Amino acid sequence: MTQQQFAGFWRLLRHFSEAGLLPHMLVIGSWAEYLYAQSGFLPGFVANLRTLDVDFLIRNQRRPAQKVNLMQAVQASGCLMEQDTLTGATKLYTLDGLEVEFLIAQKGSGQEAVLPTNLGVNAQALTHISMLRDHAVEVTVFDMRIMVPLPEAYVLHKCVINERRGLKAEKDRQAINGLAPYLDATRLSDIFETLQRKEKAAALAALQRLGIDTELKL
Amino acid sequence: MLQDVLREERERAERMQAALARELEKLPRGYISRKMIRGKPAFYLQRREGDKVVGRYIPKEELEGLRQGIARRKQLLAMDREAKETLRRIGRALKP
Repeated sequence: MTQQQFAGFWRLLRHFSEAGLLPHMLVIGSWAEYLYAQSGFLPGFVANLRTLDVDFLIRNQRRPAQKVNLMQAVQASGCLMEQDTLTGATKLYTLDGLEVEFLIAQKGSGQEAVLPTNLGVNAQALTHISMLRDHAVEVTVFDMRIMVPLPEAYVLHKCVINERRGLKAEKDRQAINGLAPYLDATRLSDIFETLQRKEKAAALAALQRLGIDTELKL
Repeated sequence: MLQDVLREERERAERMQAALARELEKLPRGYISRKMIRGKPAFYLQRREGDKVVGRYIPKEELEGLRQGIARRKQLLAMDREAKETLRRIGRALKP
């Protein structure tokens, strides 16, 4: 990662903020960890950032009520916007080399892999991701109010999906281990209780594999 | 694990290059030159084709669009160079 790419990330957020789009999305993935550190939300936490992918989770497919065009918001920054030829999902490439993707919680039986949104982008629909959306917190950096998942939800989500992450599983394990000392046990337990039984089992199995002691039970 | 991260980054840079190539295809090549014809400015889109420089007259209504297209092309070519450089660095790091 170069300083230019960090600056590119902030520029992107600035464009979204000025267009009033930030309340409709959460920063997730490793850049959320970066925001935990930069905002002081987790004092002492150092983010172990290694990726040029920036993921935004769209909170509601039908919000804002009035459709907007996200591309217009970032046009001045020279971003390149593309629709994936196979899935139709929208991707943005910034001039600094960041790849921006939009995700959304899967709906119903999950037949649709991509959902059009009122932000003017097609978002990839994923399972289990609603736990991030439902347990979010707003952090303030450089006068911008940015939504991120609560670290407890972030860690639980990584635990739930850890088994099927393939090559990314090890990276996720490191992220979980890095955040574990900063988690609030009560909040972790409260969020855990909102999960489905299968999600709970997967999370517990991952925590056990990692040797992280918690009081969570099925 | 570092190798996996590097491979992931290589795939990302390749995806970006492919997207850039598709976008660059749509944009005009060359540069705009201004000539004075009978005391009035006329604009031509010029580009090199092999040994020759070929040009075509630009009607007034196309001028602004072409200027923007050429500026955008320049911007994307800079992105492309950056992606190539990233790929080169990753390739070097992944070498056994």
